[in-house]
Amino acid sequence: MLENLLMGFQVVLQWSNLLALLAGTLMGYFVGAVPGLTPTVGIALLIPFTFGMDPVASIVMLVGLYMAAEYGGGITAILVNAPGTPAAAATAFDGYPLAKQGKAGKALGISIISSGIGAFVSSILLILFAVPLANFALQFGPPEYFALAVFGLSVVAGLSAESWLKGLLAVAMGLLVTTIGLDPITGITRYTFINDLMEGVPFVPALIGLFAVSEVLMLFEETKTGQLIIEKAAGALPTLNEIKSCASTIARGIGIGYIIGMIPGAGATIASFVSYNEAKRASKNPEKFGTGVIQGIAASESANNSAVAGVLVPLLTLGIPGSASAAVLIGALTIHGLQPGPLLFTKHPEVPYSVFACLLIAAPIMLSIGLGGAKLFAKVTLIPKSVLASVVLCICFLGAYSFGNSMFPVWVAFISGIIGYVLRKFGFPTAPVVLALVLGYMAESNFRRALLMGEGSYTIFFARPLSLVILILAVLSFGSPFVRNWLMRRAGQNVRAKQNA
Amino acid sequence: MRSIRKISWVLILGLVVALVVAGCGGKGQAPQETSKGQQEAQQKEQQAEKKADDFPTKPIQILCASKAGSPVDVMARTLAKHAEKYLGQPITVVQKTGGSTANQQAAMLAAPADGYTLGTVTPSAIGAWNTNLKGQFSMDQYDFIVRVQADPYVVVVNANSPFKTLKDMVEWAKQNPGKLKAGGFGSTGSGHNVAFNLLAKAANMPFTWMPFDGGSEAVAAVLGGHIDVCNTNPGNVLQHVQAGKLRVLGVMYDERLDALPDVPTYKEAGYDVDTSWIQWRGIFAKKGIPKERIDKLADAFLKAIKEPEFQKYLKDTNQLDGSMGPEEFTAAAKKTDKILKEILAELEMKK
Repeated sequence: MLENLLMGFQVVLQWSNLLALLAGTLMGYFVGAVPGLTPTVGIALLIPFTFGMDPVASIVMLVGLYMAAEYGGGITAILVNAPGTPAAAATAFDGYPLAKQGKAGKALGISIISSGIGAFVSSILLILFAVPLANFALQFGPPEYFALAVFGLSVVAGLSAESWLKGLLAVAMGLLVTTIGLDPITGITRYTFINDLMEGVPFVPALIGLFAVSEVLMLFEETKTGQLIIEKAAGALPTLNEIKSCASTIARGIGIGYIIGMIPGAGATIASFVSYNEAKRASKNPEKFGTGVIQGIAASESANNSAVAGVLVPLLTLGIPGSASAAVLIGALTIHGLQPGPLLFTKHPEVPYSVFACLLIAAPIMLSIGLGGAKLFAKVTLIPKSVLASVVLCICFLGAYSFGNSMFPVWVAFISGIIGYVLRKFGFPTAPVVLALVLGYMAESNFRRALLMGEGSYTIFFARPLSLVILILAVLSFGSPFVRNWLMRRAGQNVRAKQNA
Repeated sequence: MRSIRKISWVLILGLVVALVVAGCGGKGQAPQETSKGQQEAQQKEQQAEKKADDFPTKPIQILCASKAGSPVDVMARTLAKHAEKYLGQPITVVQKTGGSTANQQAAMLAAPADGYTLGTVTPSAIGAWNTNLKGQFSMDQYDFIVRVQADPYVVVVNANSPFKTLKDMVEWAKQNPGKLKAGGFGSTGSGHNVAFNLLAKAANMPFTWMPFDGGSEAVAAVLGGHIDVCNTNPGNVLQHVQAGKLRVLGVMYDERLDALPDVPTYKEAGYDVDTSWIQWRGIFAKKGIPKERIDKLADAFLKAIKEPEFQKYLKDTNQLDGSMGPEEFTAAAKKTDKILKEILAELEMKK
């Protein structure tokens, strides 16, 4: 293996491949930072340019773009509360409050450092365990996917800062929206009315609306009513102690991201939400999460970059795409006559091993560009809000348009923006809606597929060990904030009782 | 550091320009003439039609109903790349996704029938005309120009499966009615579902269909032993077969495949199934394009398909050269439509 890896390095370090990697990384930053231009779209846009390139150079460029885009999404999430990629949604929870406090540099610094470490360590995990863990993804059948979706939804209580009831209502709303479109089993249309809704409400434009457009509306309001506080220059990067305080969160995020990334269909978005929730649970001050805690950013960013390495496990070893971006990557590989799968490692070892080498080299490149750029990016917060809001709105709609080259996603972004604004005005969190939009279809289609598999019996969810374990984890994850609150209240009562006595 | 920043700005700028150009590509070509200029334009067009030989005089667009990077998109882009030199004009592929091909079809019908706006077509469109888009779009609105690929269906099982032959599977399914779980891409009426239904009909075999959201998800399910059999295409499973993880029981085609010489066809296994039900991909356009232009386009595309590089792409992706000219392709599409209508009617009866 070591000699293969050395060969991989040898290939990637050729100047043309290195240049391709650098170009991919830079474009990844850009693609990631623009809401609507997801890594999937970015890779797809780049594919035609790779036609004339050497297969290794093109795959190195695309993987570099994929990895950097997962980081780039965090930049806009922090600066303007407009996550550039779905997986950066959890980064906005604490990143944006920090930016509002004038600590954008700190937030960006923590996010790039956790991303970089996440990318690097998970790449090592990928190199060591890709082949032995190849079959892990296959353990997941419909009941397990359903259980996983339930587990993902169980983090809702942790995402609802003010009221868990409002959080649950928001989830229910999101789940209802995911029933729009073609029925996953029978293909019958449900609530479609217009052809555009046949494939359901597109997720990325909805996300743009719920986060970015609603934030723009809030910004407009602030400028109008003059509540705006002008921040000081926001350049200071995080201190060494602050980075150290995130170490355990980053380690946990890498583990969560890698494992969830490996499961096809789950991907970086769920990984970052779960990691955020776990960081909150492990924290001594969970109530502070959502107000600008650096561990919150570290949790989300380390997990979503680590998930990229996780996604590559089933992609390279089995040829099974774990995410939309992975599916496009497989398309790119096949154009160059390379079919990812069990024979790739024996037939074309230079491909997987140069991908590995590329990931290891990309992490430091990404880190240095990010840290170098952090101060520059942070200046965005100095732009007058009225100007910034208009520009962001423009980019949002442009991104939404590029999603399907049509006006429909633009309308989706616009309408979900208004819905998001109203929800926020009434104190409903928007993150649970997004969570439900990600997981609703996965939960429903696999629930029904599992029932087909179990011939209508619900025991299938409990009779399969993996499914049972995940469901128990889901119950624990959902229940723990309540138990914790109850314990704290009781402890408080005890203290008071003692004082009274 | 500074120089890196400079380079990054140049690259970003380049990308922005590329994006803007790509984004405008669709709009820029819509003919917008003033009422005064219209007559002149019409005259010009008539003259052009008389000559006919100077078509095409501007870039051609292929509207792709599938996402960028999908097999259909790759087909369209590869075809465009090789056909450009025969037409002497650039061919661009533009995504018009969503709405079960409705967005693409609406955009095609909105453009003039002049041969400059084409579209990708697969049996999915025929499925949509018979189900969700029935009454909105129909086969009669289009001319079929060229069929590019043909991808036969195969039935695969896990290497540990007790089914060694198609017959084993059929016998077991008959003894255990409804217990055989067959999976594949798409719900009832999808290409894979119809293919398996045709086999089941010939074998008089009951089964339960498990729809998946993608071909590779169904393959993953059979690899993990979550379903008994998977209906798929050879390209999706060849590697797993070579690695000893999966076994192909039968091929829905007239002859054995080069890549799977030991696997019998359905007919050889004793099940007489109509093999004209096959997954194909091609190019179609709005009805009404002058015949010379259709022939010119078909000729260029067929020449492109015959090129060694295109043939290599077909081989690399494990697909068959299914090239057909306009007449043959129209007949094949009509046949697909007929089989689908029959199966849908039968499935409706069973309900």
